[in-house]
Amino acid sequence: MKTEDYISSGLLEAYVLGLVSDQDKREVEHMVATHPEIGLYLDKLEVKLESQFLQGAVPPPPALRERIELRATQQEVKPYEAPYQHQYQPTDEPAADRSGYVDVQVSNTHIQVHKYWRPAFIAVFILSKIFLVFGLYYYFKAQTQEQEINRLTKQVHQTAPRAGTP
Amino acid sequence: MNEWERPGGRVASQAIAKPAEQLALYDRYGSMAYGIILQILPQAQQAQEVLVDMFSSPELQQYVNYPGNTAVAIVRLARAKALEAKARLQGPLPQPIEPGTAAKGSLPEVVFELAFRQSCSIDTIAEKLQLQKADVLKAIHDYFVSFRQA
Repeated sequence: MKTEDYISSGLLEAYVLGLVSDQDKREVEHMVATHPEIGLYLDKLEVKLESQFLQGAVPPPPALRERIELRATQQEVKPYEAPYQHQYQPTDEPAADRSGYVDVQVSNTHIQVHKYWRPAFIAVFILSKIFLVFGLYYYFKAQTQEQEINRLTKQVHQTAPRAGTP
Repeated sequence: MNEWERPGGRVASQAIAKPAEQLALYDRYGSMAYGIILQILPQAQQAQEVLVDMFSSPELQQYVNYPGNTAVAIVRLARAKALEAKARLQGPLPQPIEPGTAAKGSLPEVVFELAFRQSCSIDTIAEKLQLQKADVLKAIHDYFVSFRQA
């Protein structure tokens, strides 16, 4: 069969869509390997089929994306859900080859706390400032009063002998 | 069925897909896959289940960083998943071909309907429609040619 006839036979379209038998599949693969122009046509055909199927695209409901994301995340975590199914046996294999163990090394240096800690921290900060101001105020006030007491005590001592003299 | 190799070294990647990669494939080809699934399973709810199942299936992982045409691989996977669900929900495939089916529409459309959407083999279609296998394959070629010209 000529290359042009082979290209227009429909076998390549059926092959790309997976509609052919194993025997036909092997035949197409042999033809692609021996006839580069058929391989080039196959590449172009794939691009054309892509654009044709894209024309028939129907946007799925947005909620499906969240479901796929959730399921994909669950699948990623799934191997670690039942740690007691596999008994640990020390091996000489490199660590990278062992799957089924949770990597507990954390590179993130941040911690996460509840959002209520934020106003609590602000309140503690403001109260500490208020107590600091009051503390300084009463400290200096006490200093002033002590100086005043000392001054008055000296004054009393100076005036008392005079009052006792005849 | 879902293994997809091309002579000349194109082999599907076996890397494990991360959720972000699966979602990237969904964002790019989700609408196309949903359209194909709806062609085979017209019930929206069932089609959505198949779509979710498809984009979270292990088979999809081989199409991450796929060196060939990913869209065509997704088309094949969507078809396979939809036909699998159809067989599970509606009974065994393929559906029997009624006599005179070819007379109801143009031959390329009928053949494509039977081969792609109803999973009939080329030989079965040829036998039931009393055609040569080459004519069935030519009808598939003509279907895509007419689709391009439309």
